[in-house]
Amino acid sequence: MTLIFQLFILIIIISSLVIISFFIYFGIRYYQTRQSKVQIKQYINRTDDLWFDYLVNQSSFNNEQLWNNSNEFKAIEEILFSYTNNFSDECIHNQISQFANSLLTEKYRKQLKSRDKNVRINTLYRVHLFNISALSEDIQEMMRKPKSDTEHFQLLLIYAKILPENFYDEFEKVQLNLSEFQFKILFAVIPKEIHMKVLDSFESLSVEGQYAFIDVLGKSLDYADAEYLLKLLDSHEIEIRIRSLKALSEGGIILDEEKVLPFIDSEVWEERLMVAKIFSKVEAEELVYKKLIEDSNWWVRNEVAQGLSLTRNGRVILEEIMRSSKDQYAVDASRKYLLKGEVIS
Amino acid sequence: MIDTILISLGFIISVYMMIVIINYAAMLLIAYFTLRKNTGIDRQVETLPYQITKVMKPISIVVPAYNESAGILNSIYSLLNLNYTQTEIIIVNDGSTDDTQEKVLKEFKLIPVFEAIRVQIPSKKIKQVYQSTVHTNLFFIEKENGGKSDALNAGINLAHYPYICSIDGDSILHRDALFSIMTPISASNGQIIAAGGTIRVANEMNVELGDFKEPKIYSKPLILIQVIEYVRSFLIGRISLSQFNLLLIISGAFSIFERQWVIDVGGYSTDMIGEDMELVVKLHRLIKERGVDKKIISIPDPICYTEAPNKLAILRRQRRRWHQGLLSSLLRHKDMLLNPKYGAIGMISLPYYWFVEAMGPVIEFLGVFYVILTFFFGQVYFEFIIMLSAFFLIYGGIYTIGALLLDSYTINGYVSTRALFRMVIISMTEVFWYRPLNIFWRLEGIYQTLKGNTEWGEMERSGFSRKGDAE
Repeated sequence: MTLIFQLFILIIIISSLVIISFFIYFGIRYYQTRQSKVQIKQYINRTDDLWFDYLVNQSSFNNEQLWNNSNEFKAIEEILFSYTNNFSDECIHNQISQFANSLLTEKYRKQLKSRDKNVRINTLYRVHLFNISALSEDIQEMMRKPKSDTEHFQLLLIYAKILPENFYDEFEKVQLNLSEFQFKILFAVIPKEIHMKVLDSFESLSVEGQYAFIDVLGKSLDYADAEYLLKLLDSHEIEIRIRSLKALSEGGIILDEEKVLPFIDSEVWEERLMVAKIFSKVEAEELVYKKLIEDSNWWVRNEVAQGLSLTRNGRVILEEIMRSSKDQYAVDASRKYLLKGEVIS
Repeated sequence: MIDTILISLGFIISVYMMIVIINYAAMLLIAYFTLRKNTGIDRQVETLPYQITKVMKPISIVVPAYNESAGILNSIYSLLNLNYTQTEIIIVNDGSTDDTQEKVLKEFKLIPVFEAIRVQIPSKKIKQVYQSTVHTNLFFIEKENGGKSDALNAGINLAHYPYICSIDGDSILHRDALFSIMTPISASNGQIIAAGGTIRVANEMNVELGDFKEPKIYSKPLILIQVIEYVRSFLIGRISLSQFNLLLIISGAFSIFERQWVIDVGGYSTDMIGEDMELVVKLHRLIKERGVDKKIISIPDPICYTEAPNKLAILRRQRRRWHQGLLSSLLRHKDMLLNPKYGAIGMISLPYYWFVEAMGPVIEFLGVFYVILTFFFGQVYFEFIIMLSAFFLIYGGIYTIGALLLDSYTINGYVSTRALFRMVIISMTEVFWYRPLNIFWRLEGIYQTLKGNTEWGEMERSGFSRKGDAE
């Protein structure tokens, strides 16, 4: 019992020391954090007008804006984030990039060589965000031996921005390992010339890459992309066809209605749904709507009725369907959207 | 004879306590390494490409509300102010008897719309659907009272998007919470089908138009101990279990689910207490039955602020119900326990929830009983108890400090020495006041379950109650 008792005493003493050490640690960290916040706030209050003039009015840089310690450096980063996020003006973004290229490069270069992976990643985020092309050699060096998948992907994003001419080669090397989500992010940020290159080599993309590319096309569709999507409708793969129809419906550009119309009779309801979505945006003959609204699938009927209810002509068609259709489901779907938005109680 | 009983009882209790302590210590270490790995990543900058590129999936936020007049407007404002690409907000008025509906309809200029709802999960009758004329992504369902689960099911039926986010009517989400929670979900390419966020106690915090100020130090011991409990539960328990896909509870106060999976398991169960745990267990069951590689995770960053009960009577009811919920779900799925067909869920997770979480109060009660007995029998036991108590006292302090250390990683800040001192003292003393109360309340839960009482009655909200489960 004495031995157990002594053991307990020992545990209690060690534990008490642990608690005291934590108190000291927390005390120091709390003080440091508070000081840091105060200094950041003071710097921002002192220089916010100067930064506004510099970034928005394109005034010359004032030396008062330079930082004297790491907290003031953090304050500058906060200011730059804020302007990057809240302004879409290209001049402001260029000014931020110019400032970052001339004054932040050295610090970021050191950080990119840090042993702490989080410091490297955070710096890569900044290089991408502030468009620091002055670090392109360092980025290329890192790309030769990326230390993690996250780092590798972030480097690709940076390539798309500051080294577009080298992007595709690097992209090709890793594309089989990328997820659909990563593909989407990349495709959404690549410049037009890379976009065309990806489009030309669509067949060589992995399945996830192909799906992602089609999805991204729909977000900002132009005529060339719309034409390409129409070609993809000949694909043997159902998923490719559905996604292409979806992208066309989102983009709202239909260059050849005849290519789309046969999908009204598709055995795959998702394809019929996408056609309904397309003709919610692009006007078609009344017969098309009548056929779609009598579809066996709830989603298809619902979609086409909703689309029709948004336009004056469409509402006329819905009223006509309500009066004359023998299909009760079609009548219900028409009624639902005709009444929507109106006070019925 | 008495000596033998006391020795055996002491041995059983000590072994149990040691297993629990080792288990929690292991969880603390796992959570430490998990959170440490991501410490220092600049989330604000990290999510920017996702925000710009609009690649995140749209979310339907479903908010069940029953007599939430006091907090519903703030809650809706906070949802409208969320930083996310595409959301719709569906408030489900579950037959409130106060002015919840009038307030919301007036504030957000909602009008009745004729909405044919595709009923994929059964729910009580929907009387009317409203849509805001100011915020067209805000819907309001007026329905017959059917309980929280029923309200959620009605909202899921109306939802138009592939992901469902369930939030309680008086909770406030952090502005970036959806981005943080959806980033790993989107990046997983469908592997993650459900995720829970971290819940924090918001009592004594200033909330205006959905925005909130950082928590101050809590003055009431009852609130403070709950603050500590939440931090310990969300940042240690759930994060560590989540690492191995062993999580059986994600809080109903803030969670995200893939809509189709929820429909496939029949939605929230309306016939039992603890619908949030039940849904997760049902999902795990379906995952195993389908033999697919899917995950349910808990994420430390996304924060949902909620009010904790500030009266013992409300807290008692909450804890009793949580325990009833836990037991009901464990009992309903008892065929999964130690069943290799269900993999780690059957062989590790369920035994853990049975042994540590569900049976905990019984063993702990035996411990208290043992302490009382030893007062009457001999010096040896008394010394043993004194040592054991001292050990638990210190252990409580260390465990709380560990949790606060993890907390400092997630909020990127540190509590003041004064606040830390208060927290450590409170957690060291909890063994004398809060723990026994909790044991009693949870035993009540066991009793109610054995009696077969699994009714919620009406969804009841007294002040701020029944928020996120810290257990």
